[in-house]
Amino acid sequence: MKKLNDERIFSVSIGQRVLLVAVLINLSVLSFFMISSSRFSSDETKVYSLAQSTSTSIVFTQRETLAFTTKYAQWVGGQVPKRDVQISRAFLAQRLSVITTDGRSTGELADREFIDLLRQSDSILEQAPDGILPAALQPKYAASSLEVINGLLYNSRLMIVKYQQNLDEQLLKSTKVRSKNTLKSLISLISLITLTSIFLLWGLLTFRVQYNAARKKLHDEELAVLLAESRLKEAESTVKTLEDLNKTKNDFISTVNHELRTPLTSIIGYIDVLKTLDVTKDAAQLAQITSVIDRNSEVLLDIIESILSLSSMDSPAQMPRFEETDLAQSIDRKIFVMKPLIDKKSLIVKFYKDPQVKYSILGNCGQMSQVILNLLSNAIKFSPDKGVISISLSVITKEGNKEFIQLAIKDQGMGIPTEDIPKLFTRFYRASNAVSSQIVGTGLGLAIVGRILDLHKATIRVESEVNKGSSFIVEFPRYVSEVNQLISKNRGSVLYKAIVALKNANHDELIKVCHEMSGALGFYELEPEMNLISDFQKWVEGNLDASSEVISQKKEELISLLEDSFSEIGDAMEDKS
Amino acid sequence: MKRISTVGLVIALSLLLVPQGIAADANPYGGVKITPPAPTETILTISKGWISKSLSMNDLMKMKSKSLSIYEPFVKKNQTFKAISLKDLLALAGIKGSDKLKTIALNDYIYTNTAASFLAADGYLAISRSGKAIGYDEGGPIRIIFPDDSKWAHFLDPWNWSLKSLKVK
Repeated sequence: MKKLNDERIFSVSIGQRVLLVAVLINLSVLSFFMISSSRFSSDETKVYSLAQSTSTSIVFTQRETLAFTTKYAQWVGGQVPKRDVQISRAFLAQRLSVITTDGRSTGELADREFIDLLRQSDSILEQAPDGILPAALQPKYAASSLEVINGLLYNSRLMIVKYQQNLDEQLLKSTKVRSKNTLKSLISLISLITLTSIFLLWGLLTFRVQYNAARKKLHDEELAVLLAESRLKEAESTVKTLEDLNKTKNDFISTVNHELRTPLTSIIGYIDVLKTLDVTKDAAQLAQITSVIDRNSEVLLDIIESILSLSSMDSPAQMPRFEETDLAQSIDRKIFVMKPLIDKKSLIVKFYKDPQVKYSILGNCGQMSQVILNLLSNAIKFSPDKGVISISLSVITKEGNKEFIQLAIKDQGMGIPTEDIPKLFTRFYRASNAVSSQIVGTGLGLAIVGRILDLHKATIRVESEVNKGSSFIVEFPRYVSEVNQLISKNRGSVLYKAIVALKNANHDELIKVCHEMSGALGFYELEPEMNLISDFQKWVEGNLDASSEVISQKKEELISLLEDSFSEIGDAMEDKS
Repeated sequence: MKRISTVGLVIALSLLLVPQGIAADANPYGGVKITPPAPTETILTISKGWISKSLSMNDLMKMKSKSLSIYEPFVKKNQTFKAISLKDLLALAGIKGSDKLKTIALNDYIYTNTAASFLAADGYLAISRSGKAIGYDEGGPIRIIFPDDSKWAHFLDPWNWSLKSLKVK
């Protein structure tokens, strides 16, 4: 048991633990990559947000640059006053001062050349006269302004291009990082799935093996427990049996001791009286004492014989030989044996039976004689003088169509009190009214009867009424020999074959067929049918010149009768089956 | 006489040290100083159909105004403006909430929405900043602004610089 507790059926191997650690590490790596990717996405979102805001400023700067350079060109052409150009320049300055979402002004995004050109334009404007530029000065300012205007337009475009390039670079970089992160996550995920699958599969296989081992072990243990329980029950049963036997033995010895002591004490007592008796003077007393001693000796002998008889029946080694026993014959013999006692009390014994029926049972002839003798002697003993004892034998059918032979022995004696009936078959038990009436008995007769009937699988019941009489009714399974069983089984088919043979027989074959069939039916105990065929055969033999129509009609009548019988046999067989 | 001379000198120095017209924190990308419009020169036209109202800086200065400190979203710093409620200005031309109002800047930038939206956003017309005229290179001389708690405080399209006119077709 200690070993069983120490054994660990379900366990995790070192390899599985290593694999589990690898799975957890992989899971951590994947989580790290996912978090990194998430943070990168957040940063990327900031870049996009920045791009939107900054690009808006750049677009407006481009617009204001165009407006300024247009006004500038118009001023150089003498179309607008200097103030208009200055106002446009102020708008551009305002736009360049706008702080974008990255904390820098739009002007900081522009090249130094762009700012220098703006300063150059400021210088030109400052030197120029207010209002419309005079035509005379226009060529002078046109030459210097053209370079400024072209430069500003070029740089404003460059600002956008550079910004876009920068944005593209950032996007490309982020795309590369994202791709790299995705690849890392993917590799980690595949690795995780693979490791997890291996771990689970390994675990499943291991668990399956361990589960089967555990189940087998459990099964073995259950078997061992069942076996132990079975042995324990067997031992308990044996102990109980032995205890019962011991008790029975003790009770028996005690009872026997008492029952033997009673007549023996009487005998010894009277012998002592005899010793002191003068045989020449006390002849009458002597005769009385010897009579008492004789009666007690008979009782003693009877008790001893009964005990020996019961003892032999209790021993399994001395099982009697069973054979077909005719109950009617046994009863006849016992009535004959008991004739002196019957006549002594002027009793009338009536034996009812069907002479055609064989009342056979499977049993021991000697024991059956003992049963009948005991029951009959009881009936005689308890019957009043000139009383009637009825013995009857009959065949009865019980459920399952099983046949039993019923033996009933009825007397007109004192009867048995109802409360005594259940104990009648107990050893040394005697009915209270029998004891009080001082009717001699050992109390073993019915115990012997009950034991023998048990051995014969027979049942006995008692119907009694005090002062009117008792009936002892015994039921034995009826004995059916193998031949009889065969006959019984094949009767239907034999009759069917006979009917078919008669139907198929032509006029020339009829007598021969009838002869053969009646013989077969006779063997199978189908006497009525055999007689019908025999009668028909005789009629045919006596009417050989009868027309074929008449013979056919007679044959049909015969077949009809046989078919009726066949139906009855069929029904009976069906009931039996 | 000596005392008068000393006072006159202090005043003269003060005038020299404190520049007039533009704020101290001037636009770093600004060019040559532009003379602000004359006080009587029309700088804002408010019109609705046949009704048209022209306003000079003097006119605006006479109107009911309030000092408004806001976080200026373009230069991203706190600034204090003297401003007139758009509600008062629109009332001058009988502009109602359901009217579609067009705000037009000197550089022809246009933003359009219902007058009710401007009023719901609690819009103002700024006419000076830190007690000084707003320069052209700072969105002046007049510009539309919104308080920090306005729904358009961070929606920059209606923040029209160098406003020229408010027009309803």
